[in-house]
Amino acid sequence: MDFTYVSSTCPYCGNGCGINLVVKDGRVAGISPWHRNPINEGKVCIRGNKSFEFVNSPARITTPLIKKDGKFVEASWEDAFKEVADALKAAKGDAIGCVASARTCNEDTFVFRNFAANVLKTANIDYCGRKCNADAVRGLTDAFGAGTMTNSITDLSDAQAIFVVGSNPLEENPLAGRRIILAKQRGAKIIVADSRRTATAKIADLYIATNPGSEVALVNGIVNAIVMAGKENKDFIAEKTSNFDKCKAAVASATPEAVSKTCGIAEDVITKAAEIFAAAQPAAVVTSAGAGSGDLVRAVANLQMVTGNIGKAGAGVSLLRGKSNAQGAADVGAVPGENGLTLPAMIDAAIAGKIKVLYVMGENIALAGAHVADALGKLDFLVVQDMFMTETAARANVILPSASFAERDGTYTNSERRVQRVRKAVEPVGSTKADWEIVAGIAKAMGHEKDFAFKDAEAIFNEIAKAVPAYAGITYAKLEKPEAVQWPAAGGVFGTAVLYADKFATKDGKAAFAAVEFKPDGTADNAFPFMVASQWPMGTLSVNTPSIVREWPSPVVYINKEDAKALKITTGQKVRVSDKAGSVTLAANVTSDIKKGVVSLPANMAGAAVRLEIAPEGA
Amino acid sequence: MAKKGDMLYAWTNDAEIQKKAELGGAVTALWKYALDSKAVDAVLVISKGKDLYDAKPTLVKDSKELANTAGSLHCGTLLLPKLIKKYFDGAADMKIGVTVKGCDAMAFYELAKRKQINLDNIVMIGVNCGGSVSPVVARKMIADKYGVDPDVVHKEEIDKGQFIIEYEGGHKGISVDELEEHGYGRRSNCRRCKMKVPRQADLACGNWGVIGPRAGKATFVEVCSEKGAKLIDGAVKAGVLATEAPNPKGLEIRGKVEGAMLKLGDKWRKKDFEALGEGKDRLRKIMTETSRCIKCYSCISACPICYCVDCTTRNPSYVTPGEVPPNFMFHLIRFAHIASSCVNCGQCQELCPSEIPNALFMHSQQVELEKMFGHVPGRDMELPILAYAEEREERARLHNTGSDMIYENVFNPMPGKH
Repeated sequence: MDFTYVSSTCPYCGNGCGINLVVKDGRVAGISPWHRNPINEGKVCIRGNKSFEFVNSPARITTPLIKKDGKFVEASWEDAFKEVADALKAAKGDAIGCVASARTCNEDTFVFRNFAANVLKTANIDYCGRKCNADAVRGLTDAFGAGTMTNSITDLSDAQAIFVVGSNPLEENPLAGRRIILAKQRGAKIIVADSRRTATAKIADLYIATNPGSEVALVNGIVNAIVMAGKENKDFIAEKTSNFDKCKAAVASATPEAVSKTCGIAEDVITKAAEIFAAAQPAAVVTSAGAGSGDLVRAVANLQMVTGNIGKAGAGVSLLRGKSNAQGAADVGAVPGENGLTLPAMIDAAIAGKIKVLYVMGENIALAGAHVADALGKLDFLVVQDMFMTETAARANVILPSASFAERDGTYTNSERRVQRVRKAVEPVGSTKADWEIVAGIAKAMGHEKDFAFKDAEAIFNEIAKAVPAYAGITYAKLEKPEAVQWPAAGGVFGTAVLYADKFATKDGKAAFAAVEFKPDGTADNAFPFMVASQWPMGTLSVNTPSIVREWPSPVVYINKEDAKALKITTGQKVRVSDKAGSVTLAANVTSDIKKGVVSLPANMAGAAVRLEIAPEGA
Repeated sequence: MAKKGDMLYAWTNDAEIQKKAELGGAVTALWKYALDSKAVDAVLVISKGKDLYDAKPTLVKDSKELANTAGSLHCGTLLLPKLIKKYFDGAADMKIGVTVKGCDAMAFYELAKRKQINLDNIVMIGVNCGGSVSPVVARKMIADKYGVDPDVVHKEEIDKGQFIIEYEGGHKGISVDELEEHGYGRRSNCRRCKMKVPRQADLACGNWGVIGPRAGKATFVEVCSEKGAKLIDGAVKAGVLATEAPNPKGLEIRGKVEGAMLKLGDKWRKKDFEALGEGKDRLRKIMTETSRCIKCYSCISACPICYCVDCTTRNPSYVTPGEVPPNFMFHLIRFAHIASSCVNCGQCQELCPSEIPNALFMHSQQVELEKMFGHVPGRDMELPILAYAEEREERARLHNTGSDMIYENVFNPMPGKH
């Protein structure tokens, strides 16, 4: 019998927790704690604890599939590569779109990017994070110069106060949530703003039940209250920032009266939050990427500049990420080239008939709604690389089966810029291949063998280190220590834990305040009386992990107890949730842990205000 | 001929093992003999992973590989018996040698009682353990309290109440008491531990009591079973192990060290349990702390008492699926099922992402149950308080009553005849 531990990185969220894959006789038999990893010290959430299950799922696609007469037929790699190569050769570069992934390795994304630029000659490449991550990242770039979390997950526990807004770390990024718990145990005050009384909200010292979508107003209100009280960090503002006046002017209208109305909260809560936050040093903000999160990120960046909480441990803006390589995908270039289309633009172009071929690597974009599904139906050709028959893969002309994280080498870059190793523990299932190998196979079939003849993942990483300035100096050898390297590598033995200790990465070296206006995004009215909050939907990995499906078998709509009583809705009952665009039928989960007048939907279904009705029998 | 109860100084004659092993290399030599003589098919030991702080279970089938696994790692906070249950079919049809700490030995017995491990196929060499330190805590401690870069340390040990490091350019020791006062040092369950010499193993080995010319060059061995005696005799006969009677003064010293460690364990128990309060206060504390649970199931995955295929915490009528934090029933189920047999191995606490002192809560209940029922878990094969009934027989009996009246069923052992 063979028995080994292979240290690797959890494939789920952007925390990048370390795990040990337990390999027994060539099969991943389980997950064991990797105590030595500095991020999670052996601790994991349910996803990490069960992240081996999908690897062994019988639902894995194990051979290439070519659709013939509407049905998938098993094919050899040679035939599949030829089929794809022919379709790609037949299309003009600007009629091809490439969708990269936030959960494949840096090596895959980098090869895919080169393939798009040099073989397909298209600038149309983007990753699924466009709608949520890219906006937030842009906010950070505008404020501080680099589109990334300013600090480290570990140093959150050094904060004296933590303000969590637009994020639910205890449930979504639990091992970042743990750092908040540790901070609280060391005496930090925790402020949580959320219309849902989440697990995170339940550990708060001050819980602010703000209306969904009103977070920017709340943060502006807190900034204004700090400035009005004369508690702003004048030295920091003078020495290290620009445009304070613009921000000051923009938040002036965010008075406690105005904000209390917008957010549906008491006035004194705003001043209380401002007092707690301004009195603590260092103080941190935790937020996450989500639709429209750019303004929220700019607003919290303002808060951290006003209080001088940037450039030191326990401070900063912690932008938590949903997927294992959300940071890395953008780092290594899964972003549109010159005049290239973003993902939403590619979808629109597909509907308009301008994009004819779409090549999707490791993303289930069809989940984003009927609009995307329509677009996929209009294409001449769709290529999908995935481990599972997702809603997107089902629409493909050719499916190229990917190896899982346990079956290949590579790297993920977590939300705190830590580049960590993914290590091959077992042979790929069936004839599956690492995503980069698949791309290289197509390149070869298109006559570009020479440029894609990488020996292994390490050889690709060495190219990344040459091409991406932030990754300069990082090698696989340097990633052997469990601390790995946080880019930029030049900061120390293990890279840079906290950015901007000396100066900012902006042109003038100063952090830039922004005037962030609160823009209400469609308020509830008589026809659609409920505001909508969102929760994380189940992704491809989760729906193929039985232990996770057992907890969350199907999407639900969370409804406040009193609202449900008025509508005579009980838990488990099917409810039709409608907005202006359409409706969806979901099981109700009646709870007192959500604000009255608010419902919560999975993020891919969440939009503007909604109406609720009990669904007719049989729906 | 060695026999149960014997005390020995032992060291290896094997030149290769001598080069790498500590304290005369007796444990490594014994495993070499066990493997070479096919007394075991494989040995599961802890070896160095990415560095000194990374303890990794390693399966050794060829005795030539043993030299790489020699030496102790105090940052090894793993529990091996659950791995044997999960990944080796409970040693059902494979003979495995395992180097164990006290908590490992106790966990082996508890899993064996539940028929999850075949102890006949397990050979245990116990090592004295004064406690272990979580690796990330150890690194921070070395940086903060010793002022040394943890990456230049090449050896660490706990000796005479001190945590000692050797590094490029020197060595340094700080008393464990002082470290623990500052929140560093051993895991909290280790501090309360009173299983310092694992006599449930086949052999109990350590350096306590090795004095005189053999100090640092031999291992103190207490023979705890016939299996252990056979192993010693075989290894001596094979010429890989040499033994002699221990210095009587050394015996006395060993007893004193153990006594001091047990006293320290009592001190920590008093401190930790008193801080929990009593009665309602204790319950309130437990409810407050456990209310942070995010239901990762790590405590269950790692617990050496948990073995059910279908855990009651996943029964939707007790604990609503997907609800985070789960209701208190989740924890009540764990307390009810585990507490009487808890061996205080600390896994449930060390692996908790919500920083809930699970092991403290469970252990505090175990000591109360021990006071009430006199049952000591992990010491021998005595069945746990909750296991006097054969589950299948008991279920059949309840089923045959034809009644779902729990009171009637439980308190009328002769159904239908009341």
